[in-house]
Amino acid sequence: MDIRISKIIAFFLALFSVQCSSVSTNSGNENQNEEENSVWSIPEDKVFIGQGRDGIASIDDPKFEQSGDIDFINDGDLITAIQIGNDIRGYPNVILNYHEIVNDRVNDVPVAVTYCPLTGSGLAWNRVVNGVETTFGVSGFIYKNNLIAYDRETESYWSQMLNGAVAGSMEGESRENYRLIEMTFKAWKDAYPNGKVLSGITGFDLNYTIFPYGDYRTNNNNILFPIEREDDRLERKARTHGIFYSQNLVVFPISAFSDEGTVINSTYSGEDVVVAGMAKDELVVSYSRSLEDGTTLEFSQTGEPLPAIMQDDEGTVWSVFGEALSGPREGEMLKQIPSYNSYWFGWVDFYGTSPRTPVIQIP
Amino acid sequence: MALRQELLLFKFPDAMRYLSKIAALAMFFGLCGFVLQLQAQTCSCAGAPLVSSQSEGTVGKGAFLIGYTFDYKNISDLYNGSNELINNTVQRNTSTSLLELHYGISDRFAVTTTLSYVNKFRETGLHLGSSSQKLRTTGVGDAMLLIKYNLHPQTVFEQYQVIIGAGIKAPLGVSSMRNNGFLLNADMQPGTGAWDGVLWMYSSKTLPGINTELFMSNSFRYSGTNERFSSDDRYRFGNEFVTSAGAGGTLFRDFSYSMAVGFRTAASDTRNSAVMPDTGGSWLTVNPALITPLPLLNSAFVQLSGNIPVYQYVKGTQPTISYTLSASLFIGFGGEKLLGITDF
Repeated sequence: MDIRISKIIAFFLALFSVQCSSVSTNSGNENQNEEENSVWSIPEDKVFIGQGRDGIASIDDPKFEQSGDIDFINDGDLITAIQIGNDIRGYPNVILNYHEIVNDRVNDVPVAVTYCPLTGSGLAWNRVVNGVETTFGVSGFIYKNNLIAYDRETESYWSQMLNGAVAGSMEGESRENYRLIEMTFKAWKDAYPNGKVLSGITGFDLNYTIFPYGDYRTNNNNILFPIEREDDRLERKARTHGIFYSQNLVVFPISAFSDEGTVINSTYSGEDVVVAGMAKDELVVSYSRSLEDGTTLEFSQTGEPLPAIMQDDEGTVWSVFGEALSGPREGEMLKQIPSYNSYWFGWVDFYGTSPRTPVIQIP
Repeated sequence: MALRQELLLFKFPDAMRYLSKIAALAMFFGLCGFVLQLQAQTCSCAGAPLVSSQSEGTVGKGAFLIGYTFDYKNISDLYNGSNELINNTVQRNTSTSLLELHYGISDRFAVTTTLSYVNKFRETGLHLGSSSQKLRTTGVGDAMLLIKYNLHPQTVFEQYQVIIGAGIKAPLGVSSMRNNGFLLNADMQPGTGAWDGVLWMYSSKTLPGINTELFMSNSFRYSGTNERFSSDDRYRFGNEFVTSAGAGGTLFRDFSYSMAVGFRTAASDTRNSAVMPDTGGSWLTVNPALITPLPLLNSAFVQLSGNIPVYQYVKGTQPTISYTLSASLFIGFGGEKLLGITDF
């Protein structure tokens, strides 16, 4: 090879290798990198980066329509619903699948409705962080296939299923929850025919009729990020309702409830709990049976249509949100207990197989 | 094809006549370098676009061809199936430097090596204005080695050729890049982490009466698997098939052109055999190219080309390529054998 060729090759190689491997980030918010670099309370090697911060856009200016005006949701699709005071709202999961967080104000309470399509879990958080009303966004981080949100006030990172901050100045803090339930859209329409439903006009041009993760909901082998713990007592994607008590967790497979309705009165570590659900509506709710006046109620099925789901031994009929619809305690609310829905594999991966093996209770 | 044709045309460089071209090219490469430094970036797929960026043809015995290509892909469009959506949240681009080395082992056998340097950029949260987050990754990408065999060399009397090739794509690029300790998504990694097999074919037919050459190229990449998250984790990018067909000829004395229709289809990625959502699809593009010899150097050429999507179908919802711009510089050594035309 003559010297001219050697020089030309050297030139190309120099041009080619002018840079070395690197990764860099830049944000308009100065706190961001600082928070990313802070100590995380969860194993950092188990945290993955998905689509980047706000690559999944939260809905920060939600619009609502009446249930009857919604035409892009099938009857069998799920809707996530909240009640604060007399304000009842539904958030179609077909929209939540794409946005994961809706920053809303319900009964004038600042609320972030969070939903993770990979774990099928939904929690409603108060949006006041460090004394300041803020909004939550999708951080782009994933922990155990579950959403890590960030608040736009302190830039702290919040694990949804842990219900607490895992990095940043708020690390160790937990969030106040509101009663958030899931049911089919048909059940919602039956329960609240004039209820407010998050509009499909979100400001983002997305096709909400298509689930964004393919066959993820039904294919038990389709898991996007690693899972550490397995428990084959249920299928990975079995939809379940979990209740926390003391340091333990009891899980109810939603499909195991009867179509007509099943009501379970239980006591977990001294906490009296009622669990009610209907498989055909993919609806399971749980509340405390203990009232502030010291009464412990016994619940049973009710013949009343939705939103009624159970009645107590005093003759009061209670709604899916735990509100007394009629009877001697009309207007009262049952006390919330820490509970929400998730795919089975989510519970197992978060809460382990030992020593906190989730207890499965078949209704 | 156009590149080889240009080699035939280029005989008597006139330095003064090409000064303006040199200035323009210097500006272009300067701009490329500027973009390279400032931006970095991403494609909706991982790694470098090695298969789709392969130059065409081969070289004859003892000939040596070196090429540098700067390839810029703007990935700002958002599609659901074949429907374009308004994308106001994420912007991406990928710029890749490709270094090609072609060497003719014999009159029919040649070897081509392609090295890559990848520069990916992703900006998310565009709808939030100044709070958007920019992520940039750069690094050596994967490399490809092809052995080419000229089944039917072109001659004066039989002015067509058929070249086939086979090779491997080696995972030289990093596929486990982390940001602040957190593993980045596959589409932001410079490399794929997998050994792939590649089949390649090129054919052309010269129509001397109208000073035109028809050509077609096909390539197929069979993807291997990588251990994305752990040693027992199997992530596999979808197989890829790229084809293009078109025609080229002399435009002016110093310029030649080609215009091709390209089609690329990629299967969905899988992880542990489960299909990954929002991966895979098909793209139909128009690929124009303009080629001109470079003065002062014998057998040196510059090619400017682009890919303009005319139809795409993506699985699920994906960001996809808005356009591709490429600039290449080729310098050859080996006289007429550079062309692979050995039998006059």
